[in-house]
Amino acid sequence: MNYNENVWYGEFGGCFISDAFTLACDRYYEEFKEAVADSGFQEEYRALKEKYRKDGIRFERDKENGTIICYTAENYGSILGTALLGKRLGRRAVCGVRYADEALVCARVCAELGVELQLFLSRELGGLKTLTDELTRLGARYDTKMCRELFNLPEMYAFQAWVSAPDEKHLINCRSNVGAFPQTNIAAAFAADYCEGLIEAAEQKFGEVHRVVLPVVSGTAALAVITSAKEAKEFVCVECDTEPDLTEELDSYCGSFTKVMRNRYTDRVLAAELVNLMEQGKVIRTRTTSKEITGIQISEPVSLQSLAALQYCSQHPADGNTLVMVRQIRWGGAV
Amino acid sequence: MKKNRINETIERAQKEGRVAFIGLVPINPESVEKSRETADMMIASGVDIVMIHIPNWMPWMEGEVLQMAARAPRNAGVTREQIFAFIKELREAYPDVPLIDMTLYDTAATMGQDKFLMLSEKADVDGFDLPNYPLFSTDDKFGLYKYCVENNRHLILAISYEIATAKEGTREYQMLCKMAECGRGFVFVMNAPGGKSGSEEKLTDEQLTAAVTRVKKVMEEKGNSDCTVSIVCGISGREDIDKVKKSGAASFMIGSAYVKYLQEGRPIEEVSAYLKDIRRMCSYEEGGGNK
Repeated sequence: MNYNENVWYGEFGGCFISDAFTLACDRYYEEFKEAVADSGFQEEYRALKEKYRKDGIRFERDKENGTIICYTAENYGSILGTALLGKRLGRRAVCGVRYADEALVCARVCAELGVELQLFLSRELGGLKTLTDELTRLGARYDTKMCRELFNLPEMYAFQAWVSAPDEKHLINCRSNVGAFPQTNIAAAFAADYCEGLIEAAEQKFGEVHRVVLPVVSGTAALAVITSAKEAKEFVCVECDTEPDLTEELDSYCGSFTKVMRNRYTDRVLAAELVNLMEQGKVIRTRTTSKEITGIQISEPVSLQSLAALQYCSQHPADGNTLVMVRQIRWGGAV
Repeated sequence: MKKNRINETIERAQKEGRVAFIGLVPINPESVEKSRETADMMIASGVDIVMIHIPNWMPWMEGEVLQMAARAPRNAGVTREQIFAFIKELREAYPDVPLIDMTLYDTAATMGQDKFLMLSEKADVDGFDLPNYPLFSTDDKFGLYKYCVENNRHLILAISYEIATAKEGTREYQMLCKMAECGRGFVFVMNAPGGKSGSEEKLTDEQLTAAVTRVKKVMEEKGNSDCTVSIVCGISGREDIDKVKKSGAASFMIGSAYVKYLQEGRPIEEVSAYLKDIRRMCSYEEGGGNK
């Protein structure tokens, strides 16, 4: 498995946590490196991937504007990988979740691996009784109070729980935009591994891909596609927000310095490694609003950012094949 | 070089036979005047060293009360510049009271460290409590510690129980040695795992005493006896203050305990009475303790 060993990606990333806790991060990095060098761990991870990866990836040629639409399932690589690390380390796991599907995957995989799990549910998920019933059935404990009453940042509460007892608890990351080095890197490595071969699969079917257009919320899935690509492509990341008055700030999200889109009430945090690629000009970043999306016809309910990616393709035709990723609407929340 | 107000204040408290009291001023979302009213009340009630809460928009090192204290100004649209203007106003009103910026390093990084320091200089703050500044793990990559040493402002370091009591020869012990050597004014010993404010989970009396004794011993070995130990996290009442005094620490910090009262809308006189009680408990004659 490939993983980025850098603490910093240019001026982004890092380990902005108290010096008193950086040693726990260092230990975690050593444990991760030992795990991925172990063929038994790799084998178990492969089996998990096969089990949880939906067979939903399919390609469709959009003849009108010459793009290849790739309908992809969610990338659960970092949940599966970090849950498996939790099992290996014999620790209780904590995880902050924003979407119903990731809460279920996390609870299912932990139940299967015998990892005790506490979830922090976002405000949007806390009231979904069908979800909380299922989490209970799967043996996961969950907290709905913190996000309901304080900040709607479930990952932050999971991180707090981890940092209070780093040798007893294990942090499961859903995304690579949260946490201090090496947590972001580990999440990114599992996510990249999860979608390996995706561009190559499109090329086998349609010929060489010149441009890849990716919908972005946190940028975890986009980063995974970009870093797992075998050859250089033109990558375009398309963001689309509905929240009003979002401005860009630099901030650290539980230890990793990155760009945050925020207003008084909301944060959307970009994966630091992706931000660095954008800053270096290796990835094109474009933002749009939902009002600007017009005339996109698609048979399946896909995410707003996916529609924005399709819109981008129709407005910016390019020579050669463009591969555009689209994802289904997810239940839950958040920018 | 002129002595830092933090050192002077802690020394004075020790001479008076008591531990020094560090208090946190929350930012009132309604107006600067209300924040000022709180600060005036705290100083009048006997708080020795004033920390000003510059809320971080992702307050992951804080407990529920201080998260609320961070959320309210954010939702109200209070800017960091307004908070620095408030700190400057406090400095003008209280030229001898030590003032400390309390935030995460994220705030400095977001504003730009130069701007953060420039505004802090204008307010002539005495120190910075930025518990997630990666000093040793990056070898002071951003130069904040160097700036503090050169400008006689203290960067307050925080030491966990695990680091404080680490076995010699371990990486944790190496970290303790560095912290003991580089501490200025005071170092915080965390009374709670994870350094979370307002924590219910606290060290036992014996654990705290062991941690403080060890830190003081290593500071002495490093020739850094000007630096003292302060206790942070989960301090709220007599039992805690007695524990602080017995531990041999020279000061302690309270924030969440009375910020909660302010959030509950209790009268300022009631909060003042609470702080005055705490101040009375600071004396070694009340409940004993180890100077």
